[in-house]
Amino acid sequence: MEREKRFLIAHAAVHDRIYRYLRRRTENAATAEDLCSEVFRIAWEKSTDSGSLSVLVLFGVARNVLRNHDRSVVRSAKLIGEMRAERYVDAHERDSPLFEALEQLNPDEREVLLLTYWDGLTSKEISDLLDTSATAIRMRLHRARKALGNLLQTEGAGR
Amino acid sequence: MNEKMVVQQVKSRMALADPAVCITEDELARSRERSRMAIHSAPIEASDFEQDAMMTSREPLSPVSTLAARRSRRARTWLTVAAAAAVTTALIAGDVVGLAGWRGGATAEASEVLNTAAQTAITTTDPLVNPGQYLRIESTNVWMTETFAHDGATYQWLETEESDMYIPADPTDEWVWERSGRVPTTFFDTKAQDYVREQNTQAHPELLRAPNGEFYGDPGGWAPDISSLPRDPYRLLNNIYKLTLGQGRSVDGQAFVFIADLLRTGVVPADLRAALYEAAAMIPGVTVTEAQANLDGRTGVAIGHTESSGVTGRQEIIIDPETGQLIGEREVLTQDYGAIPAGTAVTWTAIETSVSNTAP
Repeated sequence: MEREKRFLIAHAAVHDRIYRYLRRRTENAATAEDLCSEVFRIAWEKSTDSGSLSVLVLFGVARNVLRNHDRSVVRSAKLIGEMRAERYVDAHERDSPLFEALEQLNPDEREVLLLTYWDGLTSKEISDLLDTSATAIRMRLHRARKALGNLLQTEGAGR
Repeated sequence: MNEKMVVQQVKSRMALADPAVCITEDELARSRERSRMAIHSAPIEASDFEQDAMMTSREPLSPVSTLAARRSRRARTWLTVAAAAAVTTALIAGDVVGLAGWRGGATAEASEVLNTAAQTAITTTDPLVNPGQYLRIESTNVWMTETFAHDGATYQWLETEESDMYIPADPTDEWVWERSGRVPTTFFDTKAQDYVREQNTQAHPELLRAPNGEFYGDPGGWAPDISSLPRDPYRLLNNIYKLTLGQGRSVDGQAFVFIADLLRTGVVPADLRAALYEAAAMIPGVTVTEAQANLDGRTGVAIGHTESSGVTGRQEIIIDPETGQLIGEREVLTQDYGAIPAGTAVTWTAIETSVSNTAP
């Protein structure tokens, strides 16, 4: 009973964030829903009577599930492009230069940027998730912002 | 542009471009509901020593059992390492030597009902599904839902889903599955009732079609490989112990749950049904729990397995003593749980199978 309770509490607290994380990185709602259910299935199997399922554990599972889903490196590189092309026409229409700029970023920098500004994770959380030091993440974030700022400025100047 | 401005600009533009703003509340609710089901799926895991696994997929057996397996199989406890090791040693030799048979069995009364049902089942011919026809499995599925609100309050109620499955004579053809979606049906206090009303979650009826029964894109095989299960009840039971070891509340309890899970899929042929009844008769702790049990308007004998300690539920199967047919299965609370009083069937499935010339 204790295990169920812990799982349900974690589920209630984190589901929406996990779903949004997956939905931002997949082409449609059905895929996000499938992956999300897979995440919580794995989380349930991992869960025990003691020890709670933390936000980061769930994000970690989600990241792996997403990676397995998205094995192809090529596909992964094109992800932002696909988001624009397929599902996120609305978002893209609001700010297409931003999506173009994101696409040009180094993938590691892009990931830190998305985790920070879309998924609302702190540098400390991202460092745990990516198994890197918090300092390295902060530096990466700094570089990412700078690169994105430059790209956006160039775009602004070019208009 | 200074650092601070860059941060501001990136922050606001990222926020505005966040694709997640397109996500509707409905979409979230659907995923929330589905992913919460993880808790109700009792995956059939391949044990390390499992040689002749009848199912290697960890996914539920079939769409029917997908639905069914979502239901509560709670209070998993794990065997102590020592006990597991001892049992494992006993099982490695295969299904000829195992846990079945030497530790007692069901009570005399339960054995009689089960063995009689097995006799009747074996002489029954399964309905023949001709080419172009469908095996239709109608079921009512009820299970407990529990929600933890942010303030720590818990709410329990029962939800029901009607399921209508059409399995084509050639299983590689298109299957049809009509699902009503889950509807809250039974409340035990006004607190939960008010909560559910407030949430106002709508049921999502679905009409699904998939060749090979691969609903929801799940290629996990539509049915258990029934052909590989022994029809000799003793060997069958040893197999079941092997497949379920380490899962669930107790070795015997989980074996009984396995039998109930398999029976309620509605796809178990008569010879295996008979063997499963006989296997259940060999499980220690199996008793007749109610001579005149009513499930979804039909009456039969309830046979259950009561756990010895600290478990709130009792798994039961309900058999029509006249025909040996399974009416359904249920899990009855043996202690109060939240707002739900002991004696309540918190999860149950009633199934009926027939042959249909058409599918929706």
